[in-house]
Amino acid sequence: MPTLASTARDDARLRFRVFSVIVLGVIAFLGTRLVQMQIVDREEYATEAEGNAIETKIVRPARGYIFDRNGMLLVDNETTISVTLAPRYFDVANLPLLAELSGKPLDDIQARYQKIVDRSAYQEDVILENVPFWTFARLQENQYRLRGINFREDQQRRYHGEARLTHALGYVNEINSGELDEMREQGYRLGDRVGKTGIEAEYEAVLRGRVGREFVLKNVHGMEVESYEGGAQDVDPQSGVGLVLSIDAKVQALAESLFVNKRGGAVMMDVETGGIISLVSAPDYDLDIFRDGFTQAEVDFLYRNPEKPDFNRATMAETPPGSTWKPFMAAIALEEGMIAPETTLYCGGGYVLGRLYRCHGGTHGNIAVRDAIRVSCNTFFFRLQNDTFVNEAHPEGIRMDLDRWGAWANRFGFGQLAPLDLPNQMPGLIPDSSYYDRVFPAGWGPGYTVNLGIGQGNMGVNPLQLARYTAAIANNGTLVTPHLVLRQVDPATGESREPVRPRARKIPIEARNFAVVREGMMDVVEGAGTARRARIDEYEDFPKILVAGKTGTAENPRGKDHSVFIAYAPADDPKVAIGVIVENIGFGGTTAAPIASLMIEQYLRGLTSRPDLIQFVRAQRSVGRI
Amino acid sequence: MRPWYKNLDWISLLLWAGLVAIGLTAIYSATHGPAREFLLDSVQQNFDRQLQFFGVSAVAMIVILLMPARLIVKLAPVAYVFCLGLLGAALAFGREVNGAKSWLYIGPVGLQVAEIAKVGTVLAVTALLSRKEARRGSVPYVLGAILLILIPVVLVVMQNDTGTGLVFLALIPVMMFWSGAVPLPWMALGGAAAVAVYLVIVNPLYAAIFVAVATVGMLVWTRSRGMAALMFVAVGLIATAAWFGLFKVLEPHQIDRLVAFDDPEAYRYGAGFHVIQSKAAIGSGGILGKGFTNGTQTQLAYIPENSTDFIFCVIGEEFGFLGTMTVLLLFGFLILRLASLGIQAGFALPRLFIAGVTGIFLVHILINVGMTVGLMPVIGIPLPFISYGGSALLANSAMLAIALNLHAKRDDFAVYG
Repeated sequence: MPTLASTARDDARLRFRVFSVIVLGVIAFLGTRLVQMQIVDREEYATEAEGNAIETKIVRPARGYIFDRNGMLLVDNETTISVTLAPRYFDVANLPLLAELSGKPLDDIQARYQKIVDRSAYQEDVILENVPFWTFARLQENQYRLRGINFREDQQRRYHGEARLTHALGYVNEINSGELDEMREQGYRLGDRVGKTGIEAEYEAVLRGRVGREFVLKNVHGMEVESYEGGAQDVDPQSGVGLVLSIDAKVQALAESLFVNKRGGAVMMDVETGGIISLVSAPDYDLDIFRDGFTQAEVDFLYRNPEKPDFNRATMAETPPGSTWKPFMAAIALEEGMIAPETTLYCGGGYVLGRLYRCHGGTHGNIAVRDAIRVSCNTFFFRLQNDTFVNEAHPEGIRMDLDRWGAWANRFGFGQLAPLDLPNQMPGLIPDSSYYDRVFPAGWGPGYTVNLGIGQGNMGVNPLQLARYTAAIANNGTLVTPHLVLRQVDPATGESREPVRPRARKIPIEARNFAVVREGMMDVVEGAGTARRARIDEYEDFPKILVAGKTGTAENPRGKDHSVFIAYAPADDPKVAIGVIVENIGFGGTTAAPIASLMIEQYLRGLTSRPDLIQFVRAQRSVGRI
Repeated sequence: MRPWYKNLDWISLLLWAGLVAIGLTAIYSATHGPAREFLLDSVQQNFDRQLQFFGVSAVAMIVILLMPARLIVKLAPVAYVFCLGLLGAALAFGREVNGAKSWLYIGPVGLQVAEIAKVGTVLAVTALLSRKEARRGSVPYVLGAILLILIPVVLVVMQNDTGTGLVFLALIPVMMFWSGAVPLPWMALGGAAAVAVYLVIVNPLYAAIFVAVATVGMLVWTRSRGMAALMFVAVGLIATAAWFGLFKVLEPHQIDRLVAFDDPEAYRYGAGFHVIQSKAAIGSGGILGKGFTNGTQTQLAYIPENSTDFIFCVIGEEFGFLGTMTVLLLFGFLILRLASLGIQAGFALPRLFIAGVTGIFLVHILINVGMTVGLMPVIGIPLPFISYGGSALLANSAMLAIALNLHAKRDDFAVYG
């Protein structure tokens, strides 16, 4: 018989065993979990923990410098200093001292302080952006009194020299959210500055350099605590590549000064290489306005201005070329065998096609191509565009139909984008029959297209295309590849490298035909032509520079005509070609021709000898609204 | 008769010292490592204060061990009433900390009275249940014991300290189990119900499987169809009710804190944040840990409350699996050691008191460690002897000392004479 005491004891022993199982069960339950977390899945949790604590900081490299063709510095960087404040360390009682030292109103400082604190009680943030040097110096002297105040260095673009080069250089500004989405993988972060237009945008990848990386440990409040592994994993940034432009800053500065109070554009390029010596679009603005942030007035000027200063007229305009189109017509008519150099066509003061298309300067009588260019005879070129020519080469007759004309225009680079290293470009307009079908659904005939023969009507070109076309005439038919960047220079080694560019194209026109056109164009300036203002006479020790060119006056149904001029020089040994369009200002020989002439002289002689002509050009202005 | 000090269980004292030492090390790391500069001044002092309380606790233990065992038993009602008084005073004059009004300040010393109240409550319940009548299953005695536990529960919950209230509640099944007042199959029913509710949160399918297995187990064990049916119906109903309540009736935001542990990613920026960070800390510790004061989660302040409720993360991150298992095994050893001392004492009184003490420790460990590894809801209760908290250290040490006293001086109680 078990006693009461022994049953109680046995019962207790049973319960002890049950309890032991429960205790061991709990330990096994937790222990298994620990095995799973700390041994089996350790990697996964380690990744989570590292993702928490290790922050990758981008270290921005210095952006590449930009020079002109003579090595003159155009763009470099300047260090800007922002004052940061770490709320956790900063004593609010020091706000008045901070305001006094920085020379800012206390209210402003307080408001910004409040913003920082509202965002995070721990995270360091900028309280004064881009402070002047003396403010930095005073704050730094007093830093011991201002716990929690720190400085952050950043860089922004700094522009040098007289040439603004607004549209060629383009601007750099803070990355926007759309760009950030696209470029995040290349290491761009919020607050980065990127090239938005011009060279800065086109060469963003090389100008920017290679970003460096710094790994830091941050705590749960987002404060940086120390560098990760003592910085062993950090990567130093590499400065951006320097760019040498084909731009001549002096020519550019002169051109910009000549374009004051005008709308329009000009492009001057090397006839052999296509290197752009000057690229002007007016109105322009000082790229300095992108420094230190915008004022409202600057924003209004840039984006609300009807004259669209941000619009690159040199590469995006769509202006009819006017009579500067005539050398083109002459060249292709000669090549097609429609006319020979000595073929004369009759000008009775106009061309009748349903109505009378007038020629200027009365009647020219029987006139050959060379003189037709010199006097800019409209009738001659109307005939080339619209008449059917029957001769030995074409016994069955030949007529310049629209598609043949358009194909030639394309061969000269019109109606298409040039392989230029600038992002902002428009192709212009070279109409074909489908274009006319679309624009004139009721039907169209020769009366609609005859104007194209003299560069009027439904067509559009820009100064870049004009310059390139002129260069092709000057160099016997090589359609050069225009470019702004001559070479890239490695900032560390000084090694330079020429970018790979598309090859120049050959225009299938024989040299003798170009020679005829060139004779006509030389007469325009040097003979009794329409652009005598473009002449460059001998000056001191400099011999006379022969200039060949062609004026144009693009008819504008909505306002004053556009002044157009193309030229190359020296005519006997062409070095540069130029295309100029000035809007709403009148005759081509009055405005565009002297501008081109002065730019040519500046480039070839390194100076200008005609202050009167400069005054004459500067006094003119574009009228009316666009 | 052997002198009492020869009966004293030095092994338990060594285990106690080991756990407290680990706790102090972890608290030091959490408050004196690189994390220090982000901590409030009051938190930075945690290590020093814990060290002081360690001294106070040691003195208290010596005093308790020197007291006659019978005196302790006689003082049980006094201690209980005193503890209720403390709880009431905290409600009336207490200071609110983290939303809970559970602190009573005596001069500069703050006491978390709910921790202290555990001692008196366990003592009083033990005294009541160790009567012969209770052990024979007298209903008034059992109800009286439950009432003794429920009064402090109500007071603690009124202080808005639900977690500690839960620990008190857990005393009811623990004491019932050990007193012998409730037959084991009935205890099993209760335990199965608790497990079933837990499994409902983890995965209702597991809960269903568990109910089926438990029913069969009950049948095999008791050979009583009635008990088996009861297991199936009652536990099944409770599980279903829990499922309905948690996932059908209550809105997600109301049960976030309760169920977030099971899928913390779903609550990443809310109730799940602490769980994710805590698991990342422990898991990333690996086998050997990142080293003393080298844990990134700990030192970069990703773990909140890492010297108190989440101290296990510090151990897990900086000392790895080695550290966490050492702590678990020390606890397991201590609890089983104490329980065996209770059996060895041969009397109901020491056995039941130790039952209460080990029950409280076990619940604390299960919930605290379980919460840091994502197996339990985030309920803010400390890890005994390790978490920072002077009152808890003092109370837990005092309970340990009373248990050792009752065991060592077991001969002072004559069973039949």
